[in-house]
Amino acid sequence: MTELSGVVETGPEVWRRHAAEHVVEQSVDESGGNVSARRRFLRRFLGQRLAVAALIFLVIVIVLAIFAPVIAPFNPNKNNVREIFSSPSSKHWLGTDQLGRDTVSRMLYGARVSLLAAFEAVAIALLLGLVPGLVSGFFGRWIDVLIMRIAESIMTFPPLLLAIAIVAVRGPGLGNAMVAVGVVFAPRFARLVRGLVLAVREETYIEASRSIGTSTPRILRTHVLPNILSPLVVQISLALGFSMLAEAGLSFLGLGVRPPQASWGSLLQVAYASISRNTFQAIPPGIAIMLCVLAFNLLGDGLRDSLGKEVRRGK
Amino acid sequence: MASEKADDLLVVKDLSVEFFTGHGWERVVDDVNFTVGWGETLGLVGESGSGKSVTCMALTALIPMPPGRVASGSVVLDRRELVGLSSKALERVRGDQVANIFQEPMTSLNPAFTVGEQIAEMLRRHRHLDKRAAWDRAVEMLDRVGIPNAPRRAKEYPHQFSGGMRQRVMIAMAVSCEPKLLIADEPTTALDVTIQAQVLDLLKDMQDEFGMSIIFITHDLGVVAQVCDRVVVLYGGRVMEQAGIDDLYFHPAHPYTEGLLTAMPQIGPRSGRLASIPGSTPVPSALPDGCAFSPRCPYVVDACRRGPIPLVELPGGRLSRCVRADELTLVGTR
Amino acid sequence: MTAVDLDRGGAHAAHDVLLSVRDLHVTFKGRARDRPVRAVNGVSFELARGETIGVVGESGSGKSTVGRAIMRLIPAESGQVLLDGRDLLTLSRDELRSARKDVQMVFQDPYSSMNPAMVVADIIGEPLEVQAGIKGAERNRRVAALLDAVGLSSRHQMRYPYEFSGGQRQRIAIARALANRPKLVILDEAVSALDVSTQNQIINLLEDLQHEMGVSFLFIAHDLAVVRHIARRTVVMYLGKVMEEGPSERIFERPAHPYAEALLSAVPIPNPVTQRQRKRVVLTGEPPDPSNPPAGCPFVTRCTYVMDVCRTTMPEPTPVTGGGIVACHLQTSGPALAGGSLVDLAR
Repeated sequence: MTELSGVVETGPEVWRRHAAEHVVEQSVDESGGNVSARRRFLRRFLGQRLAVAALIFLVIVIVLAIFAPVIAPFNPNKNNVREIFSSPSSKHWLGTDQLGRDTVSRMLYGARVSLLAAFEAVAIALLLGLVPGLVSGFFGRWIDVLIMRIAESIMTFPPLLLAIAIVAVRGPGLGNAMVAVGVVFAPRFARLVRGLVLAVREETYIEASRSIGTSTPRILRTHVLPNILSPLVVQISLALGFSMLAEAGLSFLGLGVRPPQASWGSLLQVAYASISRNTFQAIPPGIAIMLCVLAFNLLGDGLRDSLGKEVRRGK
Repeated sequence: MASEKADDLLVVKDLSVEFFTGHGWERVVDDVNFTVGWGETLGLVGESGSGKSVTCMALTALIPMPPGRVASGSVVLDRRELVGLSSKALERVRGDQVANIFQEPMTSLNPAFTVGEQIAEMLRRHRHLDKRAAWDRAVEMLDRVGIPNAPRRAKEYPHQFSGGMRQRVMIAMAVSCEPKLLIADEPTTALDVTIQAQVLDLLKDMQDEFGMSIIFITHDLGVVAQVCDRVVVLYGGRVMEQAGIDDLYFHPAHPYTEGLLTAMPQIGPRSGRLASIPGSTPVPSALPDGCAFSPRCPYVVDACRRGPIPLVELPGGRLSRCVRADELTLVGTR
Repeated sequence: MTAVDLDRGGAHAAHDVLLSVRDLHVTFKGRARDRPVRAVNGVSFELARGETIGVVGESGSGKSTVGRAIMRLIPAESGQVLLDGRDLLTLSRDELRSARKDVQMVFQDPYSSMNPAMVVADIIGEPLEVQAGIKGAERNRRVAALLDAVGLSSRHQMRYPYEFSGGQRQRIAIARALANRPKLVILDEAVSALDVSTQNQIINLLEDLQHEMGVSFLFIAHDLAVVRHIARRTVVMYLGKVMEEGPSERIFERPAHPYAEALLSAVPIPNPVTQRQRKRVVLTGEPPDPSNPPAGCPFVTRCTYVMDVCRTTMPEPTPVTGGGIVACHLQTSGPALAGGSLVDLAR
């Protein structure tokens, strides 16, 4: 800004010099810049008190299940004919069942089984559904039609009947029961993943990646998968709750665990069968199942609310 | 203090609009003053975030309140105060005396109704025409704005029209009740340049035919030069300069205006490197003390940072919110 | 049509030509199965090494499609795209993969052209890894250098795209495109979504980078003023065909095609006096439906100078004095301008 006898220089040259002197705007969104996406998600999630409570509850249950052999006061399979159907006491906090077995111990071991079963079922569902969903959504055309028709055919079976049919073929047992649940879930996952992939497929950054020459597997791995992960995690959480319920149902019907193995569902079944003789024994497994399923749902909702914006965030 | 005539159509005085955000009330439009004469086209120029759209939506209380509110000021349309009117009274004003057209016609046209029906509805409500008369007039308006085959196309839905045609439909709808004031918010920004030329000509025709005044909101200084009589330049929610069209372009009175004019790439011969205004537009919550433009201004001095800066009147009826306005002889368009 | 056939008057010697597009056709399936949309209908032009050519047109002109066809993001129906003599359209999958190093693209939308789940270092690093097999520390070193070259601090390498402004994102996109020093970068409306100041900064950056690296730019845009500034030559497209092509200076001062004239006339000039005084050509009507184009010249429905021959026959490109070509019957019939400009026609 040269001042020559009071006349200030003005005009385009002034602006060009001014722009050259100003370093290109370095400021990045400082309000969010220092806080990484992860931390922001955490902050938002921790604000959802119900979801946090649900998470804590589930963690406690998992820990208890893991340490069941250490914590359980009694052998869960030890019969004690003298103490059949005893009410809750200082010795047996939750009483005993129709064979005198300690309910607390059976609940702890049952937690292991029920949780493992739920995770197993969801894992199978993912295994069977994720890749077909990815392929179907990304490539489209005849492979999409083929995969979706197969998925829909499986879904037309009433889920329970399908599970029963699979168990009938493979034989009873928890493992087979959870395979059945996994198979029932798989097409739903495939459809979900396909929908998510369809949305991502149209994004410009996929086109940009193609123009770079990135191979399709790599595009799926580095561009598609990470962007469908968040909604997927939400659904997984909800599916875990569902699976737990399914296991309970199947075990209740006698298609799941074989005695003397305990799961919450089988505990419920046994208690129900002898409900005329002892009403209390149905309560612990019933409440446990209900609380866990509720917790998985709340967790899923909380995740959805705190993740939702991050993935779609454009501006 | 602005030279306003008693018979101006619209007088906006000390208008301030605030929005409630997570950090309390933020002032998005601050002490804005301007007038629009009868049959005149006033340009409202600013970049995104300058408050130009909010200002105009506030005139007829189109801003959702909450979270927005008119914190202070007055808006007088044809000698009638609009601020504080009941929503019923405002509904009668909108469409009838003040009409709006927007950048994206798809958001203002209802996709579930035919275009003829939408125009006819306005006529029935504001002009109390019966069904037959309203429909005929709607078809007439569509024809007037250059929609070919108007009687047939009036029965079509908005998605069946191209972008330029939809804007024409919007214009037809807006002027069907012969409003006194038309507020056009970036009406041609999304259109191809040859279609833009047609639409701008159409607006001029409509203005001549119905004697409307127009407030034309845009960031494009080329369009402003073509259609406006007077211009108000907004920055950071404040009026930086107000002047007649020739004054604004040849004798700008505010550094921001000079910056905008210098930065515009010209279709004429090349002029070396493109100039630009360094930095970016401020957010309402982070306005600096003093002049909103001071962080980016090449002519800044200490006095600029001590606020608030008043809007002063310069010879020729120009207004400028620059402390150094009488000192600087800024360079206009070449 | 080879480079020799077209008298480009002021154009480049054969060895200087980097990109030669010859009679390119791209067709999409239209809504009706039997009515395909000829998005690109016989487009030819050349681009010299280290230069910028602008491709302008309005919606439906096919300009973006040309860019995508050159990148082989969409299939071309016929024609040739010669990059340093090699036809990109006939390359096998593997050859194409290695050719990607030479032609890159910057897209219009700074928000959706980058993976929101990837950090900047990985975004810019992708071409380095995929095209040149550069990984790890060497990759990061180059990413830092690229960020520096586009005016951003390498401190921000580990940030996500949403933390940057639109202009900064386009800088990142430019860094990504230039990562392996391509010969040609196609910019598809790369500055259209930015405000004027930011746009100018990016254009200055592009000019600097071209000067340093000798890269050629294919600049697709609808803003004529910007194209005039950055591109030495311009191609004007309408409904899939080239209406006029030549030195930007010449086209903007003395257009030979009625569409070019109308286009220039429609651009508002930020000068009220000039605006009031200029002679304006305002087109009537809208561009025709691309799946149902008129016979003859596509511009017949809106041309102010239309003659009978225009309705039946598509005009052949003819040379223009001052450089370039034009496809218009006014050159050979009627006033028979024979290389002259419309400006010469006394009105």
